Amino acid sequence: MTDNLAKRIEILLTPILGELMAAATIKIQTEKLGLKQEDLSVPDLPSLAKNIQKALTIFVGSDKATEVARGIEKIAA
Amino acid sequence: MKASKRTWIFTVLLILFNALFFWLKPGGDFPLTVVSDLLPVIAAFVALLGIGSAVKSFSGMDQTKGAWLLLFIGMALFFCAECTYGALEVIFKVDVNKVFPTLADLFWTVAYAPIFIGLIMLVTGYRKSGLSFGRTSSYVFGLCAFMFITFTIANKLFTPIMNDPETGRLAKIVYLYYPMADLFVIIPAMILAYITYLFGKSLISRPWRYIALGFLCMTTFDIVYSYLSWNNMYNPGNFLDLFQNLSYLLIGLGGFYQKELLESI
Repeated sequence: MTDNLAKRIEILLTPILGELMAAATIKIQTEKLGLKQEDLSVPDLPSLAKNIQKALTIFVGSDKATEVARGIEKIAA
Repeated sequence: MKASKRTWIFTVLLILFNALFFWLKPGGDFPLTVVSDLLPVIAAFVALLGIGSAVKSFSGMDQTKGAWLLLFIGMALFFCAECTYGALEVIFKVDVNKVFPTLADLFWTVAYAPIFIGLIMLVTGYRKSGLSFGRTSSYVFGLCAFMFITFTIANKLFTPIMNDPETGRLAKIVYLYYPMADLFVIIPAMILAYITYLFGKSLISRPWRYIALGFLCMTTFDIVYSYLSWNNMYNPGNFLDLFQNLSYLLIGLGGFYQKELLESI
C-alpha cells in the first residue's frame, strides 16, 4: 500500500512533469522529508504535497501548483 | 484545433514563404524591402499573441506571472520596434543604413531589460523550486563556450567599432549595446534550454524549451546581424532574416504551450 502511494503520486505527476522528472521529484521530495519512498504514508502527504507545490510554482504559478498539491493530498482518499 | 498546432502550421508556411520570396526576389528591390520589413512585424505579433495568452491564463499574480508579464512587455516593445522600422523604411523612405540610430532602436534597446529580468526570474524561481539543476560539468562547459563567444565577439565586433573614427559616439553606443545585451540574454536562455533538456519531453518544460530556443535564435541572429551590418554586408532579403522571424514564432509557440499547460491542470 505504502509503495503504491508513491507510485500513485508519480502517475498523477507524470503527464505534467514527464516520467523521469516525476520519479526524480518524488524521490528528492520524500528524501527531503527524511523518508524513503517505500516508507511514505498518508500522514506524510500534506508535507510532500507542499514541497511539490513549491517545485511546480515557477512553471505553472502558485494557484495551479496549489491545485496539483490538493490532488496529491486527496490521493489517499 | 489547438492554438499551438495552428501556430506550428503558420510558422512552417511563413518560413517557407519567406525563404521562397528571398530566393526568387519577384518584382525587384521594393517588394523585397516590403516583405523583409513586414514578415518580422507579423512574426513579432504572433509572439505577442502567444505570450499574451500565457499571461492571461495565470490566475494570481506571483513571480511566475511576473516573469511572463515582463516577457510580454519585451515582446510588445519588439513589436513596436519592428513596426517603426518598417514604417521608416517603407512609408517614410528613410535610408536606415545611413540614419542610425532610429526611433526603432529606442524600442529595441529598451526591450532587452524586461526580457533579461523575466528570464532571470524564471531561472531564480527554478532555483528556489528545489528541482535538479543538472551536472556542474555542463555549466563549466557552458561557461567555457560563453567565454569563447564573448572573446570572439569582442575581437570581431567591439574592437573595430570602438576604434572607428568615422562613427559618432551615440551610434557607437547603440552598435555596442546590441551584442552586449545579446550576451546577457544568452546566459539565462542557455540555462533554461539546459533545464528543459533535463526534463525530457514533458508538458511542463515545453513552453520554456520554445522560449529558450526562440531567444537563442534571436540573440544569434542579432550578433551575426550586428557583424554584417557593421561591415555593410547586410541588405534586405538576407536569409539571416529567417532566423529572426523563426525566433519570434518559437517564442509565440512557447506562449501558446504555456497557456495549454495551464488549461490542462
